[in-house]
Amino acid sequence: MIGRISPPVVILLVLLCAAIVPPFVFLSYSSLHYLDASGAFGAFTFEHFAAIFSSRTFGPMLLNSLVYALGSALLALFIGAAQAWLAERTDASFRQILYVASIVSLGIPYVLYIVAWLLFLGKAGPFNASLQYLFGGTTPYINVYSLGGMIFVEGLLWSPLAFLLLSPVFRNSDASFEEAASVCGAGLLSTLRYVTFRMARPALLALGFLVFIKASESFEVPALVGLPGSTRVLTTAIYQKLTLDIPPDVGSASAFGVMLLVVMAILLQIYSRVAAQTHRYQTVTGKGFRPRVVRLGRWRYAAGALIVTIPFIVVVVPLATILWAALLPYYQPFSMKALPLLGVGNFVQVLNSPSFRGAIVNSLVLGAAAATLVTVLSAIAGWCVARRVAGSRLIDTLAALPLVFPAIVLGLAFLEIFVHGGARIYGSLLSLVVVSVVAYMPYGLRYAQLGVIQIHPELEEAAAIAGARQTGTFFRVVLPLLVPALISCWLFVFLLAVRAVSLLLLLVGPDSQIVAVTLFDFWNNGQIGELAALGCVWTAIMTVFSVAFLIVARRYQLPIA
Amino acid sequence: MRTAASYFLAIGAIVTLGAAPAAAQAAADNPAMYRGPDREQRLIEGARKEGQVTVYSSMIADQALRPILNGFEAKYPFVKPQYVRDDPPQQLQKVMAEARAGRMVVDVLESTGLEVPVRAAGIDQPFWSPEVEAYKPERRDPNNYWAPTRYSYLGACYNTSLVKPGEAPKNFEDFLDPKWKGKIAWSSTVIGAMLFITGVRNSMGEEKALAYLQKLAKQDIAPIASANRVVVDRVMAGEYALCLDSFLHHPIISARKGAPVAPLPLDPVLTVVSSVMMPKAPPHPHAAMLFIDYLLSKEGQGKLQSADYFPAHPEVSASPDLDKIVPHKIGLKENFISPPKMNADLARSRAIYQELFAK
Repeated sequence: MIGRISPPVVILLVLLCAAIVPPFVFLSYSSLHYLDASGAFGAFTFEHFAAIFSSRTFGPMLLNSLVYALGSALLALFIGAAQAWLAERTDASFRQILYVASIVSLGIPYVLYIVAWLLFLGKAGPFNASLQYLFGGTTPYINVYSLGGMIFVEGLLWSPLAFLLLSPVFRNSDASFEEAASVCGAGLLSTLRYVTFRMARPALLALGFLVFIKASESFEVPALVGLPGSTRVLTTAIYQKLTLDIPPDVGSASAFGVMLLVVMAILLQIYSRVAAQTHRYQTVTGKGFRPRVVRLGRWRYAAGALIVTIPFIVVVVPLATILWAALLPYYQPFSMKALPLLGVGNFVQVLNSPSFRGAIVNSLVLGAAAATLVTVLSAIAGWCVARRVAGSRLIDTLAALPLVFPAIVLGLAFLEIFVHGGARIYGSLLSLVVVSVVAYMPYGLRYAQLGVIQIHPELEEAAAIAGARQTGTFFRVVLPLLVPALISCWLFVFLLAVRAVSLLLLLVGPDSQIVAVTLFDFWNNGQIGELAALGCVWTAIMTVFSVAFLIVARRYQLPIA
Repeated sequence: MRTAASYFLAIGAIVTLGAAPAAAQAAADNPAMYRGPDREQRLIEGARKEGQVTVYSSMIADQALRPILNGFEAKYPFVKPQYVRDDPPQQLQKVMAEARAGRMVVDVLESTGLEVPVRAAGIDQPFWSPEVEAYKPERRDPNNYWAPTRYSYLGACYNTSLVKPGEAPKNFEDFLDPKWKGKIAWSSTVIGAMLFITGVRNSMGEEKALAYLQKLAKQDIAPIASANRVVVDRVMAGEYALCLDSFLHHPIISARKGAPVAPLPLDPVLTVVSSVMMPKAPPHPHAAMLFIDYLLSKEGQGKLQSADYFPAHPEVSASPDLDKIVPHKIGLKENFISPPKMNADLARSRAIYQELFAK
């Protein structure tokens, strides 16, 4: 068996093992050992786990995690599906706006987006102020620092992606079922209920589960929205163990990390079953494929208004709030009184500061390096897996393993590797690239695999008959055909890598500051004006990349995620 | 076995003999404790070659840290300063990780309450600066592991649009008034709620303090998981009417920019000192020492003065704008929490916090 595995596959397997085995080992080891005052490993113990299970906050924490993930998934699904249906299956006005807004939102850093909503919905924000103006009273009507606030912001964060993933589902569904329904006398609503959305149900279920998993492992919203209201979930417990105590309680943080790994492994197992079901309802058939557009008649303009409202909430409100904050010397809610204070001081500070310029450059370098390495590795691995060469199942399994690590846990595991492993790269930009490559390898592989599946093996067989060797075939036949898939893989990984906060939060050093983490630190250090200004500059740069991504992906009909 | 043991002993002896002069040489080269007459020249030459210094500080960047670094860079343009602003626990986590990972990035550590844990971790080294001599011996470390950089007075603050000056609480008891329920915030960090609890325990005694804190817990105080500065920002923005644990100069700095916020010193006024420390084997030891000199000098301390911070240097007074929060100028007592005290009381204060305030 071993003898049949070709050398490139062996190298790939060794690389993957070296990347993915140490995080498991170091995390479990440190969850089971004491640390002494100098931070060295001490005696073996179960105490970290015992302390968690006996703590009275643990039960509520699990319940919070569950409600939060479920709520976010439902909200994202609802907004995304409504948008996708309106955009793909109706003649509502202004449909193109939905795509533009979703693309722009892909470029907004999570932290910036969350902060915008905190400022907008905060106790003193314009939303509460308007309610107080309308209904009287001086106490705020809503408290954004709550489980509800977390669900709202996280749900909105995922809604553009839900829309982009669901629109092909509606676009490609067979209209003859709907026609049959209306022939039988079903109205618009019952057709929607019993046919359109029922056919989309497996896709909706899979996507909902995906958002559920993503929300379970998310850190940014729980940290910025949840912690001030004492709504703790598992991911923020890890962060607090490391940053609230003197000295940092690495053992308990690792124990929380190990528990999250177990939860994720179970969730992903269920997800792969759910996702496998999506093919059961194959709606794209060979015969007379022609999606039907629902004529909304006089509802057309109402739907148009809704279409304008959603991007307004998802993109315009947060960006306007951030711009307002960026122009103020110190943050205060919107008022005419504050107008004379507006100025560009924060932008001048940000653009003139070498450390902020450094953070922008570092982010771009990190994104580009991680995206390039992931793309190269996944091109080779993706081909091996799609063509089922010997050893490919192992490649597939290993490359997918990082998915069980929530970003904050993978960051913690690598922190321990760098601290105790002797590689001497802790805090360097190189270390951030290594971690990002490991984290995004699974995504890259999926992309490359989909790309290879589109290429029929007969092309490679033809090359083989013409006398080409396997490597020659790969480089001269497969690779050129894969280019579009790889470009979009590159851009996707790039966008993920530069957006990440929690993965690198524990790992950045002064000479490897990156924008996403700098924004997070700004919020914790009370530099809201600079946060907003840097965020505006960064969003502008990122929008260029996300537009490029969308153009490539649509041109070659690749999936968005 | 015996042969093996003696073999290792012999190796050990050779290594020790060889290493001893080298170690002595290294100690003489280490600029941290060097006191020769050519000290300053040596530091400048060394720093010129190093070209850089990395400072970890818990001072608020746009208020105080950046002006100090700019002043330093103006004086020594050949050294490029860079900084990281963090709360003390994150600072400790980073410095310990760097030391253990064998890749030191930090050159100078400035913080509040880290003197003892940094010493316990064995990751700092003693240093000497001629500037240190100006400071009172009882206010610095006898073993030269740390020197004071700034004092801070902590207390409450309030939003002046939401609370009229006459209605604002005047003492600790006033915060128990039910009308403030849900309107008070504090920072849930070591320098926030934990330090507040330590302060109350120190001034009231354990029993009274616990009784007070139990009543305070009924006020639903909002825990902000960020620096104390952020809590003041939330009060300014009108999210909360009162905050319990601001650095009292922060509201003054913001009020000058027009923000609706005012400080509220509570008797006795919680007082802490922050210190500068030097990590073992910093990557730029000469530049580090040069920066420590500057930070402790009258010139560097003057930057703190103009930033409305409280300089630790006995000959640099605080700006007169701060007079209304300096305890002895407004007839209040100081409740001084020394670095060892802060560290020793932390565990119990955290336990009280978890018991009473963590939901």
